This record gives sequence, C-alpha cells and structure tokens, in this order.
Amino acid sequence: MTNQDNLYDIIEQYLNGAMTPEEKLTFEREYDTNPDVKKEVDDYILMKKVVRYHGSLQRKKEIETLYKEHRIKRTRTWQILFAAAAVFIIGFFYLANQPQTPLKLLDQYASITVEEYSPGTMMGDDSTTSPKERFAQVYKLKDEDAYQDSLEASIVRLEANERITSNTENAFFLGLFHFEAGNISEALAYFKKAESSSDVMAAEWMQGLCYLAQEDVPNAKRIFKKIVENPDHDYPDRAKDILKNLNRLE
Amino acid sequence: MNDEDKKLIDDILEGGIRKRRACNQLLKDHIRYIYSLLIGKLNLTEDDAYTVYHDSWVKVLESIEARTFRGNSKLSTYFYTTLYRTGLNFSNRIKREPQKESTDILVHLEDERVSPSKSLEVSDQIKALEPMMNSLGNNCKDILLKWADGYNMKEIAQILGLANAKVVKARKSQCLKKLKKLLGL
Repeated sequence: MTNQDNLYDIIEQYLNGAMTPEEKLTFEREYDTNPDVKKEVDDYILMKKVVRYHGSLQRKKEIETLYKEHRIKRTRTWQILFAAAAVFIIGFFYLANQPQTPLKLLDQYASITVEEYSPGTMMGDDSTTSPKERFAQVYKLKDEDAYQDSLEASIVRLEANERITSNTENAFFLGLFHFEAGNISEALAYFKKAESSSDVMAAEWMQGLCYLAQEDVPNAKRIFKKIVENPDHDYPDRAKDILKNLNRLE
Repeated sequence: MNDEDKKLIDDILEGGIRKRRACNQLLKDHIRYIYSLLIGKLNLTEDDAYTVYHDSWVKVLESIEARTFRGNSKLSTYFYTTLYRTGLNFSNRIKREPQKESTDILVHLEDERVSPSKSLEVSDQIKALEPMMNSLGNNCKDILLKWADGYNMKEIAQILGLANAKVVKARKSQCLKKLKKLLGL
C-alpha cells in the first residue's frame, strides 16, 4: 500500500467520524501545517463531491425515466378504464333500450300477478270446493313436482261440478287454474267470462297476459290500452310498461 | 410497523446488495408523488421535481440509517411528508432568491438548487462531467459511485462481485488517481 493509499484511509476515517479525539486533533494539526497533506485532503473531498454530483445527476435521469414510465402506464390504465366504462355504458343503454318480447314480458309479470291472487294462509282439505280456496291450496305446491298434477286434478274435479262452472264468480279462478296449467285458450275463455264478475279488472289483466303467452301482439295491445285508459283500473302502470315494450317491437 | 416497511428498513440497514435493492425499491415506490404532490400541488417544474424527489429520497435513507425514523408512521407517509417539506422549502427558496449566475461547477456542488441548464459555462462543465466519468471505464465508475454513496469496501465488493474489500480498496485508489488527472488536480 502506498503512502497515498494510507492517507486516503485516514481521510475516510476522519470524514466518517471514526477517529478518537486525539487522532482527530493530530489529523487536523497535520492538515493545518502541512500543505501537501492539505492538498491531498482537499482533492479527496472534491473528488468525492464530483462523483456524488455525477451520481445524483444519473439518479435524477433514472427518476425521470421511472416517472415517465409511470405516467405512460397510468395513462394506459386510465385509457383502458375509460374504454371499458364507455363499452359498459353503451352496452347498458343498448340492452336497456332493447324492447322486451311478449314471452319475456309474460315471464316478468305472470308470476307476480298469480301470486297476488293466492294468499298463502288458506287452509282446507281435499273436499274444499271453492275454486279460490282450492287455488290458494294448490299454489302452495308451486315449486314442487306435484304442482302440475295437482292443477290438472283440481281442474277435473272443479269442472265436473256444474254448480261451480255455471257461477260467473268462479270463472276467474278457473281461468287461473288453466293459466298455470298452460292451457292458455281455456284460460282466456274463462277470463272473458269473468268480465261480468266482480273480478273484472283482474280478468282483463289476465286476458292481456294470455295474449302475450299466445304472442298475439295486436290483441295484447288492445287489452293493455284499455287498461291504461281506465283511470280506476288496478294495473295501469304495469299495462303502460308492457304497451311501451310492445310498441317498440314494431 | 408493517412487514413490508420492516423488511425494507432491515435491508437498508443490512448494507451491501440488500441495501442497494432496497434503495432502488424506495426510489420506485413513491414515484407517483412527483406528479400528484410536487408538480400538481406545489407547482414545481419537472426538472425541479426530480431534484426535490432525489433530495427527499436521500433524506429518508439517511434517517433510516441513522435510525431516526422509528416506524411510528408508515414509510410511505414519512416519505410523503419529507417530500412535501423539501418541496415547499425548495419552492420558497426559489421565490425568495432568484437563481444565482455562476460559471463554476463547484457552486453547483454546494447548491443543488441552481439548475445547470441556465448557465452556459456551467452547462459546458457539467456536460464535460459525464464523458469524463465515462472515460474512467465502467469498473472505476461503479466503484467510485458506490464509494461516494457511502458504501464501505466490503459492501462494494459484495455488490460488484469482487473478491474482497482489499481488492476494492486498491482499485478505488487507482480510479481516484485517474480522476485526479482528469480533473487537473
């Protein structure tokens, strides 16, 4: 190791504060009195500063590069998000504005309507003869395998009783039985008969649903228009919604 | 202190390769604050923002090494606060004292606030600095940069894959002689 290397070691120790107080004093005295030592120390410190400055310039370039990469990535992320949002919004409005078909409308409104006519608290045994009471009982089996058989069995039993079929007040619920069993034409006939009963509004509404089931758009529109134009009707809003969709199909 | 912060701090205090990786990680992790805080809020130019970011990064490192950062807040919060204070001071100094004209690179070594590009003579000297450092060769440049950053000989040997601290010391000495000649000292 040269004298200069030894001196560099000592300078490093001094700059790092690794000297004892006595060593520090000796070093500082040497610096003050020996011009050659002073020059070496000053040169060493200057070189460290120059290198550190160069290092900081390099690091600032690195920071600039990292920052620009970050901005590009961020801009791309935002662009992707905006594009995705635009696609979503356009897609949403497109789909929301698609007119619903008669069968879709039927799906939407049939179950909520039928459920309204079948309060779940009706109790009774098999011998219950009122169609309304019988329907409430059978409807409880809606989600079970026995529902369809139960509907058909009830239809057979009720229609075998002339007293029941001749009473206009029973027509609506007989219509409901057939509607639920999928016998739309029979259901429609009963609902038309029920127009002269106390269930006239419900019967009109169910006629509309039957026409939807048959995809008979003109007759469906006729019925729902009639409902909308009746200020005392029970279902003007629903009818309006259905009519709006049916009109857009054209 | 959360695990992530603890690991970063441990790596910095460990020194060597782990410290270098951790320092780079710290530099990258908060780059988003350049726009959101320095440029967006404090209205610094991009150039000044890089200076402030660099200075803050150095301050945070120094406080970790001096163990003055005790982990009472998240490291990112501490970095943000340091960045904000440094940026604000920088911005206020710019307003109070207009940029000094200087033809001497040594002034810039003392005052990093002075933007090099503003003075033609200084700009020339600083432009000469990069080719000068490059002419030392990559080995010398790597050793001297790590030395100026405060790594000890053992750490530099580990980072650069050299045999041991003695080898680094000897090479550093030779590199400093070259640099002395280039600087005309």
